[in-house]
Amino acid sequence: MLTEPFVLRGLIASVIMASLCGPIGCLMIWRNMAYFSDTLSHSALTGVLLGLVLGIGDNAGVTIVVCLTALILTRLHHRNGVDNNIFLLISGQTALCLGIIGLSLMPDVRTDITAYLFGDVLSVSDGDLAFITLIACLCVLLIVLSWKKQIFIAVMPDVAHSEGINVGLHSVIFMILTALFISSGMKTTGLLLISALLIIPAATARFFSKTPEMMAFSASLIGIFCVMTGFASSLYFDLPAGATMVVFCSVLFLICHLIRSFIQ
Amino acid sequence: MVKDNTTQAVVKLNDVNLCLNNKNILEHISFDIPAKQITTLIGPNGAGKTTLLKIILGIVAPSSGTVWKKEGIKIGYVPQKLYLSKNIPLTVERFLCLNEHYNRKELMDILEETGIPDLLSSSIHLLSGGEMQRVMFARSLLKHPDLLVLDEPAQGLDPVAEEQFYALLNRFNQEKKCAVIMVSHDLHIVLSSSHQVLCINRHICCRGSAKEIISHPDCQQLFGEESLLSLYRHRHDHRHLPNGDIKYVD
Repeated sequence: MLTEPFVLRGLIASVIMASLCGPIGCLMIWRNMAYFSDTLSHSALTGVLLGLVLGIGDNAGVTIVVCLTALILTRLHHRNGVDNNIFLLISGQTALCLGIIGLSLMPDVRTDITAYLFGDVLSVSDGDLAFITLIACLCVLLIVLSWKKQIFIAVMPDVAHSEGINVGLHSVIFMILTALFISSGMKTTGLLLISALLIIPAATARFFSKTPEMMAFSASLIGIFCVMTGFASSLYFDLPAGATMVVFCSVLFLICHLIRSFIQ
Repeated sequence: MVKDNTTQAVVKLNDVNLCLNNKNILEHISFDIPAKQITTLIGPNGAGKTTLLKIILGIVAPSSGTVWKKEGIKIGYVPQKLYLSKNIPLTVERFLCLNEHYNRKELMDILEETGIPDLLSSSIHLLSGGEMQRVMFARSLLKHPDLLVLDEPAQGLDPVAEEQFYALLNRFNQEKKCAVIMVSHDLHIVLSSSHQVLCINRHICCRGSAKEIISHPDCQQLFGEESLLSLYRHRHDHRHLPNGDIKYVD
């Protein structure tokens, strides 16, 4: 069964995405921005709509909209009088609803919204896989180029600024990284579950990591493990893949948490 | 005003103003930070002291006015408070090398000098307040700065640790000949070692050497026997009118 092309495509897509979740998820929780990924992923449904309306395909539409949302949020981040988390929640949910309404208004397109929301890993096409690979290469490039500076900024933004680091530029790079990751994960875990895959492995890796790199690397390994077990459950027990992957992540988190509390 | 004109300045501020959201944060700030000397900023909360430091550091751009810095100046900065996420696993060694890499000997030397030689491989999250302050201080010293910018460096330290910290700072100022500008509320310790004291309340209210401030009749009364709480009172030679203007009174 594993040799079926559609199975292989789904597995490769999931593993690529899970390997990226380590470094990006770590940066996310180091910066205390877990909510941010939720907002971005919710806006992605509007991207699906845009892709269909413009005829450029859902992947391109999502990438454009999510990256744009990320850039707009960076600009608005510090400027409004509303509490950040409330602001992020409002913009995310609104974008999601606009996507749902817009898609329901398109009469001649029969879109399976559930597949976008919760993922349909076995429907990954050759085109999707090529897209995910491309996005992953871009992410790896951005991570390699800015990793050390991202850590410095996460620890002491003001000091980083005073030592000549372009904090604005690297914050934008971080937002774009997150946006790209979300676009690439739409087909595998779906928009509603992707931030779980970003945050939970990183939070789990924190329990036993001594250095930032070890944390990022372990988070990726945890992600890959959970994605593969989730994938297998989907194949052999016909469970929904995305949800099963996230549940495996949570179980691992719980186990590590318990072990840690027990040791201390 | 710095009396000693032979002292070279490392930073010169000329008529610096900062206005954010139509609110004047800083007005007409002009002063020099002389090389090798300690300049202390005092003033009430919300007076703009931290913002002034950020302007000197280049983190905040002034609305008008100029900030001149000596060419090739190296600045070490210790911020007021570190909001460090517990989620980042960091050892002291890694923390010290966040921006540039230093070899183990350089790191050990600086920790030795700052009195925390055993902490190199400790997790940064397990340090006490005093230890953390010394680590931050050590980090700012690593690149041999010409100017140290310290924002309430002894905040939250117990009296003993506080006194030790300022002793350390004074030693470095004298040994390494590096200029220091700091915001401090610990006047009883700071005043004795500062070469220049500026009292800031959006504008520079009064300034002088520590000696001048202390020998000032009003200040004598304030800094002498009264409680620390009264330290912030100073001679008011002007009043703020409702329209924001300043009226000078004799």
